[in-house]
Amino acid sequence: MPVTPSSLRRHLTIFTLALLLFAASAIATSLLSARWHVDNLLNSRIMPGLVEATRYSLMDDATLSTIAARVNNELQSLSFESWPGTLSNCALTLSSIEDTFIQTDIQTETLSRGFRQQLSVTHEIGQEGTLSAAFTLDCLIAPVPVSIMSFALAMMVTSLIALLPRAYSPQQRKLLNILNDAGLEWQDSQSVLQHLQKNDPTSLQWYDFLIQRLQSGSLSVEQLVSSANARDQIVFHHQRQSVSIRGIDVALSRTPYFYYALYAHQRYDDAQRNFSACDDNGWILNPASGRANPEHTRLLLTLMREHGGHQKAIKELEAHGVRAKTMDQNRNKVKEELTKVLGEAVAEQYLFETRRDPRTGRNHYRLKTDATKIIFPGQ
Amino acid sequence: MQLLRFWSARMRRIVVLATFAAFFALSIVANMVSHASLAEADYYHTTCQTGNPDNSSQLSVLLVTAHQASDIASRLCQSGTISQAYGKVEVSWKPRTQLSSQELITETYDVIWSREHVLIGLVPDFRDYYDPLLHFDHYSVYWLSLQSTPVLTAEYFQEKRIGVLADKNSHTHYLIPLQSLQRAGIDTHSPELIHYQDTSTLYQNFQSGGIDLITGGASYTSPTPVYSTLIEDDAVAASFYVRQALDNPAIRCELVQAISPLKALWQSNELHQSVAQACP
Repeated sequence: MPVTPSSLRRHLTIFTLALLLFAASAIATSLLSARWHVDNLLNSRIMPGLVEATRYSLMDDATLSTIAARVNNELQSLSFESWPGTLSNCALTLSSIEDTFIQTDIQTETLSRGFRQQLSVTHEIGQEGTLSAAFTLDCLIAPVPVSIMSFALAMMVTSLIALLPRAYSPQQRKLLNILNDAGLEWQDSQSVLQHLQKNDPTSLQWYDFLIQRLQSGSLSVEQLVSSANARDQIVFHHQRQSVSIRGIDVALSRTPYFYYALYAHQRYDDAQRNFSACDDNGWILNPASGRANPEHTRLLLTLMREHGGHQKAIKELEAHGVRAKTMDQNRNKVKEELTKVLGEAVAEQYLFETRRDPRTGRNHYRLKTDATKIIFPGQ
Repeated sequence: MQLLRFWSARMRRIVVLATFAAFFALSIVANMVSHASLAEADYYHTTCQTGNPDNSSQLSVLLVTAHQASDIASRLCQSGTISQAYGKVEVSWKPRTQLSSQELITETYDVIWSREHVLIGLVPDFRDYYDPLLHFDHYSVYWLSLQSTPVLTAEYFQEKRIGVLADKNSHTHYLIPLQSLQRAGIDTHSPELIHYQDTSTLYQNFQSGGIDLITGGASYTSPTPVYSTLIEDDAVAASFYVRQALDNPAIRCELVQAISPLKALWQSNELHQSVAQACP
């Protein structure tokens, strides 16, 4: 997959998100699991020990602080083990017994920077009594293991996500299914897909057209592959009076073909002659009756004579030149035949556009297709 | 590869989330605290160092309660006489039920606060090992009720709930009330005896009405008015014994001085302090 600024930005976002999430989860997990272990210790050892120590003791503050000092002294041996060593230092202190707050002198300054959790326990004594106590668990997080761990995990998850192939759109999946059903190799269908992946509207229309054709059985897989690989061009084959649009051959009736070729030549030649700097060229004005354009007549006659045009059409041309009515008829015929094969949406891009001449009230016509896309083999 | 044709945006999103979730779980598992260690310890002793910390011998005192334990320890540690003989003082208030005959025979404790009958019960010739050091005598024990003045009749005690300690060596809270009932000819099975593990729970339940009657000394201070009937005015409050081998009179006198303030526990003016020792 190519590295683009947008994909880079997306993956950077994923990485940052993952880094923060993993760091937060590392901290939260270690703190909560430490708390869980402490809860267990409280219930299994610390509270029973406290019950034992307070059993016959009158609960005056001095006695409580004697016991609490002893408890807090012993609790200093508490330590936690975790694989990355997330918790660097933890201190558990007894903060109150029943409702009596305990003053402790082991409040070191390191602990005020850590995470503090309050734990209250009520321990059952026999069947009737309870002893309640509150503890504070202060933990420092070791920044290095947390950073390394989160960084490594975030790197891994980001690279895995980056390595995932891009998702196929519903259209693409439809096409892949069709290609698969038609027995195309995976690599080939991938290349077909790649060629069709240009996101301009023209390509999308072409893509729809190809799928339709393939599904209706009027297009073979080979044709599809060659068309997908073909450039967006219209190639005029005078000899067989057919055009090849994006690799799809459309055979036309003889006379309409030559008229089509006339417009194509006009568009192509004008561009070749660099007739005008802007794209406003290639127009052919529908002639007034009896005033045929001799140049168009000559070009059309040459094409027809050299490539086997109908004798009747040739004779008519020789007699009257190019007439507006004939031009209209043949343009319509071309439109009809092209639309039949390519469908309206696609064919339209290779047909004619019109412009009204304000002086004469007659119409100019030209091929809509860009001159650079018009190809005459052998020229 | 063929399967990739099902690779939709939604599926990709699911796989991305699943990958994220898997790593999230990994991060959680890896950071879990696998083990918490805490040194084995009891909370019923306190120690201090005397002015002579190089001396390796230790003076051990066994009390019943943590009350004043640290004061006693520091008084002993500050004593010059003690410092000469000991490097360290340990004052323990291990639950009295946990004292073993082995500890008596091996003379683990230099001073023991207990009742003679308990100690003899553990080791019959206990007096061969330990001498009496100090007695607190003559304290009074009462029946206490929040409802009416206790009368030692079967009618009064019928259907009453009596709170006692589960520790059957307790004088005030087990032996004396049972003896009192027996002497008054009250069947000890008729009132209901409820056993408590510790005195504070016993007192709590008495105050909250969970039990009708308890026994207590004059020092029992009730937040609400309490009816009382004297059972005995000559109970032996506490006895301290000292190892026979610890025969230095100066040290014994220091010990007496250090533990004497405990008599305030019985808070009685006519409390007698009988000292086996002649101290200055």
